[in-house]
Amino acid sequence: MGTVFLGTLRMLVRERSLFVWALAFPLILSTIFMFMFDKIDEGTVFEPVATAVVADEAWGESGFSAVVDQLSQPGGDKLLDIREFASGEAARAALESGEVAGVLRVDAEGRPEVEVAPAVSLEGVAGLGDVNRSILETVATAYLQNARLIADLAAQNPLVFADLSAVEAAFSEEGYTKEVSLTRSAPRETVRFYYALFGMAALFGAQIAMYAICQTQPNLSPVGARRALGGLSRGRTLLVTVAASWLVSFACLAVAFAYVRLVVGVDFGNRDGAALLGMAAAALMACSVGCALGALPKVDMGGKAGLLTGGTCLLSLFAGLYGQPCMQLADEVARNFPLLASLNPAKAICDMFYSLYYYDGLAVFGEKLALLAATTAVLFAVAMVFMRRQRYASI
Amino acid sequence: MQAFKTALGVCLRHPVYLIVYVGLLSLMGLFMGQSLVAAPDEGEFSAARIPFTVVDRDDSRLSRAIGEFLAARGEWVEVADEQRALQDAVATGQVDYLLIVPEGFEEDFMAAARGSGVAPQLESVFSFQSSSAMLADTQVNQYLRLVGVTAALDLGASAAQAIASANEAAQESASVQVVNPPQLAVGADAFLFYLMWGSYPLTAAIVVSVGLLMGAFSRVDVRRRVLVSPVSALSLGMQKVAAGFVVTVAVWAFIIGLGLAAFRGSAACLPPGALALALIATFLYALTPLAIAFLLGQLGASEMVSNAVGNIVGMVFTFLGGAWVSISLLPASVQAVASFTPVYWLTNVLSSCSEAGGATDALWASALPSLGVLALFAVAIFVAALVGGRLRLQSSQAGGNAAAARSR
Repeated sequence: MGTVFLGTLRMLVRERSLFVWALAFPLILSTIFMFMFDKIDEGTVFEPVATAVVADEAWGESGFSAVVDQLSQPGGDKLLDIREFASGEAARAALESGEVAGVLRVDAEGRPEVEVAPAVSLEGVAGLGDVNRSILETVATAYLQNARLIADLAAQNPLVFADLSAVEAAFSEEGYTKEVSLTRSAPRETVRFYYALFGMAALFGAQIAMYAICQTQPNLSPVGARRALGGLSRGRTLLVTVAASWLVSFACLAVAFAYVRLVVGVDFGNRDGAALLGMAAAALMACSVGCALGALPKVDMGGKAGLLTGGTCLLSLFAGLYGQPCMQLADEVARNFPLLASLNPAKAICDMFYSLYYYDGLAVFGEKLALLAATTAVLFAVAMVFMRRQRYASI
Repeated sequence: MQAFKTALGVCLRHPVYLIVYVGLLSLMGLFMGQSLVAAPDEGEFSAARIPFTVVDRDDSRLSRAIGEFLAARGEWVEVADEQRALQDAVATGQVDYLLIVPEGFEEDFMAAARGSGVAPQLESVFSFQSSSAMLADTQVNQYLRLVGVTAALDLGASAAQAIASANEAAQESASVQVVNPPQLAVGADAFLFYLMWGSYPLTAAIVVSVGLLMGAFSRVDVRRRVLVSPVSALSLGMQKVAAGFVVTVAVWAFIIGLGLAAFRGSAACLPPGALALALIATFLYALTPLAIAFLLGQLGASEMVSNAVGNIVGMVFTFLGGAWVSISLLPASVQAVASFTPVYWLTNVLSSCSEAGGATDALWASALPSLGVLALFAVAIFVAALVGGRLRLQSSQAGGNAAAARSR
C-alpha cells in the first residue's frame, strides 16, 4: 500500500495543471484581495466629511457658523473638514469636481441650506457619498431643530430663558451614547471574503481527487487500466488514492493559509491551530467531492472538470465571494433558508473561519466541523455507490 | 469550410462552459448592477437609510420614542435579543448600528436632566460601516438632546411632554439641493458597471470556449490527420480563427443584449454616440480573450489549462478594471500595473462615457487612443500566438525541423 501511496503522490505532484487551481488560484486571488481591500478597510473607518462653506457676510453673522466651527475642531469628535469659499459659485465648483461632499451656506434669515452631489456614481461602487451627504443634512437639520425647540419653549414660558447659563448647560450636554463591542474581534468587512475564498479554493482542490480517481478507472485512463490488473484490491487502491489526494489538497491549502495569514495579514482570531484543523477538514471534504464527481460513470474528465468549475463558481456565489452584493445575498439566503445554506460546503467553510474570528467559544466552530464531516461522509457514500461493482467493456 | 464547421461543433458539444461562463457569470453581473439602480436623485434629496436595531430592555416611552425617531430615518431590522444573533447582526453588516437601551433608562435620564444623578449612557455598537453608524449615533444623540433640554428647562414637564416637545421640534428639516454636474450622464452607472463586470464573463467564456475549440485540433491524432490533409496551414488557421471570431461575436452579443434588456433605462441615459462607443470598446476588448485563446491553442494547452487561464485572467482583469472596487481606490503601483492590461483602457472609455452628458464628438476624439490600444493588445497577442505556433511546429517535440536536425 505504501508503494501505491507514494506512486499516487508522485503522479499527482507531477500533474502541474492541478496546482493552477489548488494553489496558484488562492495565492493570486488573495493577492488581488490584499490590494483591493486595503483602502476599503480604511474607508470604513469614519473620516470627517469634506465640506465647503460659503463664507459670505450672512455666514459670519449666523449662529450656524459657530456650530459648524465646533464640529470641525480637531479631536475625536471632529465631524466636518471645512474648506471656506468666498462665493457660492466657487463652492459649487468644488462640489462638482468631487473635492467636497457638499456645500453649507445660510440664507438671508440665517437658516442653513445644503447642496450635495448625486448619490450614485461609478466611483461610488464602494463609496460613502450617500452617508456623507446625510451627515451634512443631519448637521443642518439638528441646528434647525434646536432653534425650533428654543422657540417653542420660549413661546410656552418666556421665564425659562431667564437663566441663560442653564440653557447653555442644557445644550452643552453631550455623549448620550458610548461605543461598546459585542464580538471577539472588531467587525471588518473584508475578512469574510478571504474566508469565502478558502471555501472556493478548497472546492477547486477537489480537482486533485477527481483526477486521482479518474486515474483509477480502467475506462478513463491507461494508468487505471494497469492498476485494475494489479495485486492491490480495489478498496485499498481507492483508500490510498483518497489519502494521497487529501495530503496534496491539504498541503496546498496550508501553503495558501500561511500566505494569507503571514503575507496578506488576515486574522483568524489568533486561532491558527484551529484554522489549520479547519483546512484539513475542508481538504477532506474536497476529496469527497472529487471522488463523487470522479466516480460519475459515462462522463469524461473534461465534462467532470466543467461540472466542478461551474458548481464551485455557483456555490461560491452563495458564500458571498464576488463582492458586497453577493455577500448580502449569501447572508439573506442563510437567514431565510438555513438548511439550504448548510448544504453549501463553500458557505460552511466560510462560516467555520468566521466563527473563529467573531465568537468567544469554539462551539460553533465544532458545529461547522461536524457539518463538514457529515457532508464528507455523504459524498464518500455517493462515490462508493457509483464505484462499486462498476463493469468495464462488459459483454 | 469543413474545419470551420467542425470547430463550431466542438464548442456546441460543450454547453456546460457556455452555460456557466456566459449565463451564470452574466447573471451575477446583472445582480450586482441592480444594486446600483438606486434611482438617480433628479433634484430630490433622499437621506441614506441606515440599517439599525434597538435592543429595548427598558420598554419605556423614551426608549420606544428613540426607536421611532431612528425608524423614521433608517431601516429598522428585527434582531433577537440573544448574544449570537446580536453578534451576527453587526459582524455581517445586517445592521450598521445597534443601540442597547438598558433597563431603567428613562427614569435615570429624566432625573439626570433635572440635575439629580449622572446621565445614563446608551450602549452603541458600530458595524464595519463606521460612517453609517456615526450618522445614526449622531441622530440618537440629537434626539436625546431635544428631550434632555426640554426636561432641563421645563422642570414641570413629564417624560411624555418632553418627548412630545422633542417630536414637535424634530419635524424641522434643512433644505437640501442636489447639484448634478453638467458633464455627468446621470443614471447610466448601472449599465456601465455591468459592462465593466462583463469583462469577466467575456474573458472567461471566450478563452475557455475558443481555447477548447483550438485545443480539439491540437490532439496528436487529429494533428496528424490534419497535417496530411490537402488543406494549407494558413487556410486551417484562418478557419479556426473565423470559428473563434463567431464564438466571440455570439458571446459578446449575448452579454450586451442581456445588459441592454435588463438596464434599458440606465443605457438610455447615455447619448447614442456614447452608447455606441461603450459597445464598440467592449467588442474591441473581447478580441483580446480571443487572441489569448488562440495563443493557448497554438501552444497546445489542455482543456484544464484553458479553463484555469480563462477564469483567473478573467478575475484579475475584472479586478484591475475596477469592477470590484473603484480603480482610484487602489494603490498607485496597482494602477500602474493595470495600465498594462486591456481592461484598464476599457474602463477609461466607459468612465468617459459616464461623463458624456452633452456633445459626443469630443468624447470620441478623446476615446480613440484608448480604442487603438485595445485593438493593439489583441493584435500583439495574436502575433505572439502565430510565432508561438510556428516555433511549436518546428520543435523537436512536434517532429519539426528541430527533430530532424536532432535525428541526424
